[in-house]
Amino acid sequence: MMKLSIGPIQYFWDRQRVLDFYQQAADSAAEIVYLGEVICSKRRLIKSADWIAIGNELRQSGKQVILSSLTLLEAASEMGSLKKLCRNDAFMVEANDISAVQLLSAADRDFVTGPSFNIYNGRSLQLLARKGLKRWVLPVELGL
Amino acid sequence: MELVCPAGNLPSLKAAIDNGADAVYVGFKDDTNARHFTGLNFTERTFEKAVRYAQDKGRKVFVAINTCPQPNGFKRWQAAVDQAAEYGVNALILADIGVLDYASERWPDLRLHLSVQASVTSAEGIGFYHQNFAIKRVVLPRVLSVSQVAHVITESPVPVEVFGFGSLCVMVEGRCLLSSYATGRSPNTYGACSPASHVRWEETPDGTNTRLNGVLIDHYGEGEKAGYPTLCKGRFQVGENTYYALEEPTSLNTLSILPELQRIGVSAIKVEGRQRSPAYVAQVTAVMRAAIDHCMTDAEGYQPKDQWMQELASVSEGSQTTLGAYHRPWQ
Repeated sequence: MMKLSIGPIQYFWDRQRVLDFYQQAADSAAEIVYLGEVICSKRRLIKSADWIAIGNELRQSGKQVILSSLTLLEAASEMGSLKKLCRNDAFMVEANDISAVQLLSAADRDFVTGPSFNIYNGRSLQLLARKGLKRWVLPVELGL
Repeated sequence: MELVCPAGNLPSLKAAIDNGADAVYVGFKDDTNARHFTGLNFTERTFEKAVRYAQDKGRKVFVAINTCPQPNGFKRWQAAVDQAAEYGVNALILADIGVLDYASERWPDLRLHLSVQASVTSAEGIGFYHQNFAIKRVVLPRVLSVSQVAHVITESPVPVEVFGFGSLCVMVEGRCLLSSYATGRSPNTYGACSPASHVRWEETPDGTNTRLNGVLIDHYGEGEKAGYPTLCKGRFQVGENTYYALEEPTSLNTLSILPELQRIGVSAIKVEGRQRSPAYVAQVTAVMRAAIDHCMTDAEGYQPKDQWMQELASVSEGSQTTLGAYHRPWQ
């Protein structure tokens, strides 16, 4: 049965708007909800602990919750946050960069890859499936 | 520090070798590489000559097979890998996980470099490719500051190559969708950003318009030098202002920080521009060769010469150069 998911917020919304959005998501028909900052690490209105709290609430509403990782890592502090994210013991992680894939597969954890992670062919998919990939977002550039 | 120069055809390859490149990188005449432009790249016959010309002079040939095959095209990428391997090239520059998996299994003794198109910015990410495909070198995207590059080098399991000169764009290579958005074709899928088939130059009473698949990218007045219309370098109206909203057309030039790149342990300096002319390749290679030699023999006393800077500025986009992300004091 095909499920419906809500991807991570790409916009820099204010805190209240984010909280309201996930309140609505909890009551929505979506089965899976992706949470977290994927665009810019300088956006700090919602902290890691907040995402976990939102995730717990969504889970109580029956949603499968996935924590999404940052797309482009540059600063060492961003790697620190990614490591923490990949160690979280509550939720599966959506890897949006190869660093996250490496950390998660080394820790023997199942993961999902997001739209900015390039899987264009079966051979790539097979290798990543052996590493623990459980679901993937198809690149928008992939032909039918 | 090895000097790695671009060659879009045989004359460019000779220009690079004759002007002191330690290695040249080339591509085949199809969408298996990220500079798939009409009239560029190597057929089997010219490729054989290219490899011989470089290797006879003790230089290296790297083959870029750095786009992403879709399921129905995978065989073409396999064939490209096989062809390069059979001609005894010095390394392949690969980006796609599936292609890396194939190449490392089929040709375990062939050196593999990770292309900038893989968009890998961390030692952890490099570790993935090292563990799984035994890559021997990584080319970093042009998004990191010098201190961030230094940090990656310290932790990286393999030597690091960085860009030293050439055109700049948004630089999240392999993950930029702007060209796909405007034309349906991109480096990943077609081997070219803003393919020439979608470019139009329009003369108007008050200057030139450049369009990409019909989308107005820029307007140049009388006497203004028109640039190639890539979406990221267009002038767009944002609110009240019309300006380079995403990126200024400018080229990276690292002459002023070569000693620093050497000090932090950069293994190779890459010059961008397989789509450029043999004259460009000759000029940039000669300047970079002189600068690197000077820097290697006397890093303390090294200063970029005015003449080098002028020569590089003359072949730069918009005639301007920048240190790009390398110089970001806040990072």
